[in-house]
This record gives sequence, C-alpha cells and structure tokens, in this order.
Amino acid sequence: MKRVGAIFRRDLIAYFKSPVGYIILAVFAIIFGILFSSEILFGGQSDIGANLLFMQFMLIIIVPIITMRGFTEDRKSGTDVLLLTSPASIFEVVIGKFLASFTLLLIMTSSTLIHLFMTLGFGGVVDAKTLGAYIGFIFIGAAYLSIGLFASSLTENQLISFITTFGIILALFLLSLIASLMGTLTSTLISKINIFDLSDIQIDNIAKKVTEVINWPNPSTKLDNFSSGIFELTPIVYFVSIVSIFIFLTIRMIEKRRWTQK
Amino acid sequence: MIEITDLTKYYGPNLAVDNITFTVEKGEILGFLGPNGAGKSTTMNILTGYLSATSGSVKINGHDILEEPQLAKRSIGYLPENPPLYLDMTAMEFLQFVADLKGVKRADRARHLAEIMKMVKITDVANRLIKNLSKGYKQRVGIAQAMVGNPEVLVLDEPTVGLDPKQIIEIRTLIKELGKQHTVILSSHILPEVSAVCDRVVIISRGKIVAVNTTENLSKQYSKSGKFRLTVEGPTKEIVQSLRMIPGVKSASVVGERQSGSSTIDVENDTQEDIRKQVFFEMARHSWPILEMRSMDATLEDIFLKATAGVAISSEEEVEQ
Repeated sequence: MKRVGAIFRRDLIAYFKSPVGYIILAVFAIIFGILFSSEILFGGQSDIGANLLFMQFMLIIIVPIITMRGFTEDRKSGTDVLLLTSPASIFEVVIGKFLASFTLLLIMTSSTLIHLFMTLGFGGVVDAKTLGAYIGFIFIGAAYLSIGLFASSLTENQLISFITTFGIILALFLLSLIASLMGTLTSTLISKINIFDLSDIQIDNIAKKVTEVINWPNPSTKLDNFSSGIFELTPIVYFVSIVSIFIFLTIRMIEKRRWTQK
Repeated sequence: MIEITDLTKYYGPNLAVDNITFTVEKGEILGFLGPNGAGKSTTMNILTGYLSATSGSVKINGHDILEEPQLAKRSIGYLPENPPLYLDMTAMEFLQFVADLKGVKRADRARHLAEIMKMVKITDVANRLIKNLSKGYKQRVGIAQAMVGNPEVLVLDEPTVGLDPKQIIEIRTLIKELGKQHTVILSSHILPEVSAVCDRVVIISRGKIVAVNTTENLSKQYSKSGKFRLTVEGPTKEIVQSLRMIPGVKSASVVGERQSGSSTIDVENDTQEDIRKQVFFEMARHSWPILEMRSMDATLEDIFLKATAGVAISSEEEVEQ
C-alpha cells in the first residue's frame, strides 16, 4: 500500500509540475462557470445536475489529456525500468497511477461545489437528482480514465495514446446514435419484408431491442437512473467492472511487454 | 548470491543471449564485458526482472526472479543504461520517491538519503531539478537511486558513461567501496575500468560467454609468450635484423619511428626464458642505446580481442557447415 502511495503522489504532483493539471482545471471550471452563470442570467435558475450531464461531453477531451502521459512517458524516459524492477508489483504501479488520475478528476469535479453552494444559498434546487448526477459523472469519468490508462500502456507516443482514448470514448458516445439508426433501419426493413406478418407494435419492440443491445456497452445509458435520483446496484457493478477490466488489461499489457520488448 | 542458469533470450527470431550460465558470489565485484550488442544490457534487464527470459532461470539470494519477484527485487538496486530519472523532480524529491517505492522506513529515510547523497557527491545539487543537471550529475543520481534501500546486489549498466575523467575515477573508487558491503555486477565496454575495479570478469560476445575468470588468471592464460616493447636509438632495419638473430625471439616488429633516430619495436619470445639480457648485450655490442624497455603482459584488451575474435570465427564456421 505504501508503494501505491508513492506512485500515486508522484503522478498526482506531476500533473501540476507541467501546465497540464492547471489547464484542465481551468478549462473545466471556466466552461462550467459560463454554463452556470448564463443560465442564472438568462433563466434565473440553474440545474447543476443537467450541467454535469452536459459536461460529460467535455470528458471526451479532458480524459485523454489526463491519461495520455500515463505509461507512455515512463516508457519513453526509461523510468518504467525503475518502476518494474522495484519491489512494487505491476498491480501496485497501475493502481497508483489510476488513483492519481482519478484524484485529479475529483479535484476537477469539486470545483463545481462553488456553484452548488451558491445554488443552495439562494434557495435553488439541490436534491437526490443532483447527487445522482455527481455520482454518475464521477463513475463515467473513472471508466473513461481506466480506458485512457490502458491506451497509454499500448504505446510510447503520447499523441497516439491521446487519439486512441479520444477515439474509444467518442465511439462510445456515438454508439447511441448508431444504435438508434440501426433500430430505425431494422424496423423499416422488417416492415418492408414482413414475412412473419408482425404487427407494428411487435416491430417496434424488435427495433427497440436492437437499439438496446447495440447501445449496451455505452456507459451513459447506465446513468439514466442516476440522474433521475434512483440509485441501483446494477450500474455500480457495471462501472466497477469496466474499471477492473481495463486495469486488468493494462497489467496484462505491461506484463506481456516483458516478453516481447527489446 | 546470484545464480544464472542456462539463460536464453530471443527477440522474435533473433538470439540475443545464448544459454549463459554463471554465478556471482556474495561480496564480489563482477565485470561484465562485451562489445556493443553482445547482450550485456539484455542479460542485466533479465536478471533485474525488467525483461523475461525465453528460457533459463535467475535466482537472487535464492529467490527466483519470476516466481518470487517481490523478494528477489527487494535485494537488487539497478542502474540501467539510461538512468531512470523523473526530470520534473528535484534530486531530493526523486530519491525520496525511490525510497518510498522500495519501502525504506520513513524514520530512517532522511538519514539514509543524506548518506547516499554524500557518497555519490550530489548533496549540493539536491534541490535542483534533475532536468537541469549535467549528464555526470544525472548519472550519479542514477547510481544513488540504485543504492537506495541498501540492496545486497547492485547491478550497474555502464555506470561511468558520460562522466569526465575525474568523476570516472571517483565513481570507480565508490564502486570499489560499495563492493565491500554489496555484491556488484558492472557492465562495461571500457576495459581499463573493468580491470581497475573488478575481481572477476565475464566476457560475453554475440550472446555467448567466451571467458570467465579472475583478471590475473585471464592475463596469464592469454599471455603464453612474453612480449616487451623496446625503444632503441640507431638504424631501424639493422636493429630489427639483429634482434631477430637472437635465439628465442619469435618476432620483432617496428611500431613507430621518431625523427630523433630512435624507433620503437615490439619483441615477442616464444620460450619462457627471459631474453631481455641477451637483447641488452646485443644492442650494447652495436652501441645502439636502449632508451626504454618495458614488458607487456596481456592486457584485458588483448584478452578481450582474442576471446571475442574466437567466437566470431567459430560462429562463421557454423554458418559454413
């Protein structure tokens, strides 16, 4: 645990030894601030939960920036030799790095607490939905971070690491679009060649199922209940699984390199 | 202390390390010598657990590096070819990080690090960012990093690269000093370094061990015939001719001539008999004054060239077969 702590501290501090950490925090805070204040100015009220939902799109860019250094930098500068020949296990190294990026995400998210307290102070609405939105945002962020960490273990090039993460997260976002397109496509196809003589409702149900199946891996679908203020076990298990799977894959990737690397 | 058994490493189809076996005793300073690309760094990367071998085993202190990596790695300090440094940290921060990584107790940390920094002489740059340090200082921070946690085994891959001559001497003295308490494996292609520091030498070429012995034994083994270098004033041709007439002289070859009329000649004798007296009288008879006479034991360089050349020839034969 001590070794995890060492790696965690080193990586977290490293974000703030380069401008990266500050830029991420600033950009996030500015965009959220603009969103919040314009809503207040023009609408007289602001829904923090809804804003967080919108900020999920920002994660497409923010997460790859956070994780692109992950293992690429270590491999490039040769410090991976230090980490991998130290008594720390690969698991401890990966966990330490993940926790560092996750903490940066938490710091970033906590900048919105200012707006939350302002809303509270002026009698705005802060309820279970808002809490759900926060939890959902952090969960989805953690899932993306684990994907980004895995991408960084694939290459020694930060740009490739960035693009890979960006691509995967973007694809997950586009998945809902593709899913609904496929759904419509299915329903039109079936109604055109309706050999089983299905009713419109049945066709609709099939189309819905198709959409659902394609959209299943999309993390944002798991968040719907959270932002409605309903807390279930399933999405929690889902996100913990995603993070565990990608951490596991990252460990395997690094282990594999011991056999193949020159 | 360290047992390497039948170690083989393939990079895809390329054989980098070919079935090497050797042991390093506790408290020994072992030199690991070979031309570039011989497999030195690969071997060191395997024995520290950074790479995995294709076959064979490495045991550190009785712990297999693959089966009990944590225990084995605890007793190793490793300085790779490129010192693994976080450039955005100060030397002190970096060493503190390494100490935490290696599980040095917090209470001992400050004292332990101060001691190490004093030994490698980086105390005065402790609070400077590593990226602003010169190559020599970076190398020393790298050595310091390997010493953190007082591991029983130190594996140093070309520790004096990039240092100026004065620093090289300091680091060599330091390594000798470390050798009193630690087992040290030192790789190098700089031969005087190995002969100055190491008790025993493993010479490796094209992934194979070509010689293992103490430095003295190796020079005895490879210098069957005596050889000495002579600087004589007089007509070069005639000197060489008369030298060749002396019984026991196997060869006499001119190495260099000076404008002052003296020439330098290497003389080799094939018997064990000392022929230097005869040479002296022969030169005296012709009144060609001897300005210098110096016996030349086989240096590590000769041994190295002979040993590695042997492999080159035998592997070419294999190809022909």
